[in-house]
Amino acid sequence: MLEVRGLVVSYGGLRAVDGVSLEVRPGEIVSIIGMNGAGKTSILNAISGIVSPDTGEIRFEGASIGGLPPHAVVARGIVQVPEGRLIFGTLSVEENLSAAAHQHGGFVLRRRARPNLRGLFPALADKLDRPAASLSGGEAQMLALARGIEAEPRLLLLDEPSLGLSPKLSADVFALISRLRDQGLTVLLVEQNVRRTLALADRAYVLESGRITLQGPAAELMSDERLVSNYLGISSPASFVPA
Amino acid sequence: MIDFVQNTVDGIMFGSSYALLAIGFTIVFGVMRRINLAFGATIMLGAYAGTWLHVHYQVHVLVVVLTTVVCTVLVGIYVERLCFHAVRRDAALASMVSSFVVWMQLEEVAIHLLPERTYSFPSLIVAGSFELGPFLLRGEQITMLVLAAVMVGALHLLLHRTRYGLALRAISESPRAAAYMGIDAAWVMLCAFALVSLVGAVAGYAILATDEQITPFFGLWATFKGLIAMMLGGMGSLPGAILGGLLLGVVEAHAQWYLGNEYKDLSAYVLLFAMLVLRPGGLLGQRILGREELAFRRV
Repeated sequence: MLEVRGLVVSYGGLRAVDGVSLEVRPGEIVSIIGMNGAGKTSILNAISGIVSPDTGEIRFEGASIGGLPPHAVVARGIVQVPEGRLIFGTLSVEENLSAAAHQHGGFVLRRRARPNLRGLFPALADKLDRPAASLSGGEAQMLALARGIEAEPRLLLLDEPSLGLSPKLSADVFALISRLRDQGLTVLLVEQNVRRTLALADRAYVLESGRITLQGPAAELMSDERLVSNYLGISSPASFVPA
Repeated sequence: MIDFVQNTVDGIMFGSSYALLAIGFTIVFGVMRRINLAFGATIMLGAYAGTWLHVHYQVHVLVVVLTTVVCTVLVGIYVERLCFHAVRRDAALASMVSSFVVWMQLEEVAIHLLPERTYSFPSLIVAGSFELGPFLLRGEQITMLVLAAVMVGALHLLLHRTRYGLALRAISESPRAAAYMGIDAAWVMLCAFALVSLVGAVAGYAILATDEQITPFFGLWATFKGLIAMMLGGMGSLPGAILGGLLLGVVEAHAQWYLGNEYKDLSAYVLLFAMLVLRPGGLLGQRILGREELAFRRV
């Protein structure tokens, strides 16, 4: 579905992404894990056209999308939920969702029927007319995710969706991502919560200083010694390998 | 007392066109965090195109109106492409300086089009007035108020009921988030420029039809009045622009009546000075003061 080959992104001479290749197949949850500053967000931003790559090829469903502007990438079915939520605080929850569906509406705004909203985002369904700035942190993250889905993507790019959330709320976010996959959505997930991410993802890439150092099925990576010592602390790998 | 009410009414009526000029500045500032100094000159050149037809071919006044509006929108698009689209997003100062340069350019074009100092501008309105008790209402000022009310109403519907209006508000809130949502900012900004040029052309026509004459300095005048009204109300705030415009109109009307004609413009500057000292964010600008300061640092 998505193929990235030899991607290089640099900011003023500093290489953030240094020759990354990765692949996402339809229906998968693929994860990129790594420390802060490893270049995870830069990969997502290059895919969604927010930054333009120096070199490298980005293909989506066979067509090259490298260097396209963001709105053209969204039109092809790739939507990114950025880190830090970036919700429109002065607009209502409803307007946030409508703005996200910008490419799918007529000239006159109409309240869209959202049959899935109450099921997936119960916290938002009753607050559609509230200003988005009045939402709690967890609700704001849910709104950011709901906005991503409202844009009707086939591939959803999630950047640190559990960042800054309580363990309970972050568990909700991971449960939601799993439900989205069950509904047929393909997800490329960037996360710092390595344990939960590997439990959820089908495959994962480990990124260090802009290069991929490790890749494979998530279940295998969970028992990889290097990963365990670097990212999961010193506890025994056996304690979190799923049965 | 009757004088006071009469002046206030006159001020509100004339202030309604200041409000439209301020809206032109405030929408561009809200969306781009940049100031378009060429806005007044844009309207002036559009109106000059209408005047040119009027002077050389004695066309019907409706043709003058239509030409003024269409040409203002075209000049507005020209300014957007040259000073805003072509300039990098983070270079707000470059946009402001280039819009100043284009202002001079537009004035030169107008002077070459019609080289004399002033020309008569045709009035759509049957110049008449009627009395309402002790008060006198001028026909052209009522037209001005009605036009302004219609424009503000239409603008409100456009911003709140249409997809592009919502996109415009989303971009003024967070251009970055709007980009992630697949909103084409370049296209929305071009539409915004065409829109404010349309609003400005209507305001310009109403003012020129009241004055019944036009000079190349109308651009300077419109830019000053629009900028002052915007700053009074609070930069980037649409209700602020309306309030600022009306306030400016009322203060000018009173100054003109009580102090004399030469104090009319001076009162506007004194008012702006007082506002900038006492409440730098403008009447309704408090809420976005933080963002404004950031924008000014960039400017």
